Amino acid sequence: MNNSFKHKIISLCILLILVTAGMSLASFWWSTSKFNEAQVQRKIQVAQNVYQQYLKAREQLLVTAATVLTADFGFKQAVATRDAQTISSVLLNHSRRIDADLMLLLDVKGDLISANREGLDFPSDTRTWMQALQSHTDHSAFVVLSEQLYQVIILPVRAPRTIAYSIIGFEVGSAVALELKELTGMETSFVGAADNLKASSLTALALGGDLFTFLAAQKTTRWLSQYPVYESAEVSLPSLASNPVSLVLSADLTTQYQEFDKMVLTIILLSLGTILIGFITSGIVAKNLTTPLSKLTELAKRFAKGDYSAKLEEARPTQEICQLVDAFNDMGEDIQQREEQIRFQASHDHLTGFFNRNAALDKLHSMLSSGAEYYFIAIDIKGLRHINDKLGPRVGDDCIKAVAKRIAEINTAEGGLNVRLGGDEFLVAHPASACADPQSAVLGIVECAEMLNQGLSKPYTVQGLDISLHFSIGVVHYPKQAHTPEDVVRRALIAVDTAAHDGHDVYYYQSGEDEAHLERLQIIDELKHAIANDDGQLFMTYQPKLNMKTNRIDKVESLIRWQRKNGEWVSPELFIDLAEQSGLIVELTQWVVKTVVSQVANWVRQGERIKAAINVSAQDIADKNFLSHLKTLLDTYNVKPELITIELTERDMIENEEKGIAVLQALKQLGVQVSLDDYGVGQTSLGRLKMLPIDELKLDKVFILKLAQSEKDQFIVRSTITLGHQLGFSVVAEGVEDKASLELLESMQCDYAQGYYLSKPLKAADFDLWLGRYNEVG
Amino acid sequence: MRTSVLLLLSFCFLFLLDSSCANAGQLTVLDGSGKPLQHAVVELTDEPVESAAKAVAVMDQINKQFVPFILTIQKGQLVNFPNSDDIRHHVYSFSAVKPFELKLYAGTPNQPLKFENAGVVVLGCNIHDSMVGYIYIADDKQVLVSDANGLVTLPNSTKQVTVWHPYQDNDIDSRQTVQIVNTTAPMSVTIKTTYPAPRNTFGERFGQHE
Repeated sequence: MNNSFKHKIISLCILLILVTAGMSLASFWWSTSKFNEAQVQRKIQVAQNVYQQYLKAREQLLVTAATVLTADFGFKQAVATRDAQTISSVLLNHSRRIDADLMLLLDVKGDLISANREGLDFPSDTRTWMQALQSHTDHSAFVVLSEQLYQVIILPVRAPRTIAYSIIGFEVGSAVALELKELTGMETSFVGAADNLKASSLTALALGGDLFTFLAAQKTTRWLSQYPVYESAEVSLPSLASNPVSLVLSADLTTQYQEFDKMVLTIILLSLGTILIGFITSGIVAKNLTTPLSKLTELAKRFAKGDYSAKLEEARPTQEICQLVDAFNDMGEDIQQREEQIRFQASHDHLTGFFNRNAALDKLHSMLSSGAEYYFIAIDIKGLRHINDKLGPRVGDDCIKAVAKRIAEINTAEGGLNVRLGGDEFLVAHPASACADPQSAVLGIVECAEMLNQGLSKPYTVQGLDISLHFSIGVVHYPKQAHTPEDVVRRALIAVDTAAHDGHDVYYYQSGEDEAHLERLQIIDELKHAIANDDGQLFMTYQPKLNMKTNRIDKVESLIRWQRKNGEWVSPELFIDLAEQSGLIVELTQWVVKTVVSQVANWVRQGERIKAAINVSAQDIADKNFLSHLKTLLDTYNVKPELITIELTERDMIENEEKGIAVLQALKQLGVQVSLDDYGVGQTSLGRLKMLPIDELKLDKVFILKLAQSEKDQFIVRSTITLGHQLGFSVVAEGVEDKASLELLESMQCDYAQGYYLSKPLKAADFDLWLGRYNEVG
Repeated sequence: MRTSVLLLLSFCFLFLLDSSCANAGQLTVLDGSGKPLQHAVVELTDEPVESAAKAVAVMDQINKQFVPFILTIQKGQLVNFPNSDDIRHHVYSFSAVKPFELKLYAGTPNQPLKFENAGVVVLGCNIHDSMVGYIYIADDKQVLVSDANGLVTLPNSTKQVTVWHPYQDNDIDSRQTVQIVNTTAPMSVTIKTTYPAPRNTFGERFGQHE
């Protein structure tokens, strides 16, 4: 037996039936036993009444007979005459007439006059015996004469005085006992003195035997124990004190036992039947309950596996099961619906309803495996950030939605795919065959892209605002330019980035760009590690600047160099550009500032007072920590601020001009000198130059490299130097490569000269050696 | 009890009165319990009567009773048995002195019966068991019957008497002899008796149970 619901129900049912049957059997047993006992007692009571009536009737018969006899005149006459012969014949005659078994005549003194039978064994003292009987006058008494029991009555013979007594009696034998048994339905026995049986309906028992021993010995076996056959009641009969007689009524319990046992057996059989029925019905009930349950379990398992099509059919369902089944089916549908929703949300962009990036990759896998050719067009909304900033993200979101809607309208080609890659970037898959469609056969991908751009560029109305959006579009061809979905997405993005960066409306991916892009990414990654580890890959070089007034080297420009671990040199232009693009420039500049300041401190310790210029970018200036970092370093290394010059290119200075000027002023306040680098090739107007808080102008090397040969360069340089001096700046010329140029600059009263003629940029140790030699020569 | 004491006192008072009268003796007959015994027959054995005038005595039957209860006659005297009831009677006697039977009759039988011998005759009626009467036949001697107080008045000359009562315990034919010493003194004689139980009737017997 296991612990299942079904077994529990069946067990409970059978237990209940067993308890009920057991209790009803016990109560039946108890009450019936009580009832039977009472029944026996009642029967005995009835039997007593019956026997009394019976004996009374016999007594009345006796009395009548005796009275008639004693009143008979002839009898009286015979008695009065004491004619023995006559008296004898009279007694015989009358005994026959009334069928009396005993008829005696005694005189008033108790002496026997006559008897109707001879050889009777009288008590020795007949007078006392008669007197004892006389106390029973008018009532019968049971007496024993010659071992024979009689019911007798004594009556006087009056003529008219009492002249004699007549004793008349019936024999009480087995016939009487049997007759009483017939009447009472009970075994009847008459017992004399000393339990001496006188008469009995129990024919099995010999007269004179011990009745009670016999009765007690009668046993019957049932229910594994002995039960008495008879229940007896003893009743005293009117008799002489000297010889008491009693009647024993014995009820035979056998029939009762049989009936009782039959009923018990019936109950047991009924109980067994009920148990069988209970077993079957509870089994059916349990089955009706558990079958739907196991079906529901099965259903739930199928739901768990994602099979929501499963339906539960119940042959004969109950209301509750119906509700449960309905609930289950509803649950399945709900889960299915929700799962679809979740799956949709997981694979689609909630804003546009387009596939999202992850889902698009899966989708692309299946699309690309079909072997069709595609153009993948990445679209980027230009300046969406500004819209978000100025008009709020809701407008921005609505713009994205509107653009998505427009994309969906335009890209209707069969087998097409629209994806929102994230932010303001979309990817559109356009089957190459669509571009070669007979209708638009004239259109190549170029025209397609152009149409797309034109379509998208039409003004939008978002939240009542007319917004004009511009787009960058990048195109990649599959399978010519990419082979995997990841490549497709990345290269399309590279193309769109290139378009955005380089100001194209549409840019077609060029093979190899991805690899270069990856190379750049790798360089950025290595640069990050190089900065973080500071393991000597990066180092500073210093190019001396000649103070043309003192003809001494009192200033250097610090320039960063990077030799990768594999010994390969990375061009500073490349990695600084990458650092600027990746935002790594701030960290890089911090490293530079720290290195240079500590070097200046070294020189100070060596007794050299050498100013160092550090190149910084617009991003550095915009970094709010830049100033405090510089100040902390100056304090840490105990370097005077005027020993440090910050060089900024024209371009960097233009970007975010207001903030840049504020930072420059703060630098100046700190005591740091500010130099405008690459002056002359940028867009700095004289008006702006006038406003910039700078200390130094650094003439771009294009004017200096061929100064000696170019008269125009000489005009520009001379006038610029003059301008700088006039504005209060000192002027530095870089790119001095020959003595003629140096001398020209000296004649032009340029303040500092820098270039390979003097020295290439040197590591700090080399610079020290070089400076020592220079000073010796100088 | 109180009544009997009063009776006894009154007898004593009477006795005191009588003792002043010296010509006759008073004999009181008592039963075994000392109560005065009525209907006791006292025969004066030494007082003969003249046999000349022996009238016919009458033993009547009135209202299913013999009247008188005890009839005393002398031997040889005739007794008539008239029936005063409007029903018939069957008078009989099984007594050895004079057994007879007067079968169902009404009115007066034709012949009175002559009782030759002295003795006691018990009378019964075959139809009515409750009817019992007695005829005491004296042997030509003077007889007296005690009154309700058990008293008989004896003549002075009386020397010896015999006393008989129908309920006496002794044999019905026996008599108790009493010697009279002094008639002037009050005398008493005790006769042990058993009063007969009231006779049950046939109907009573069948009407009762237990």
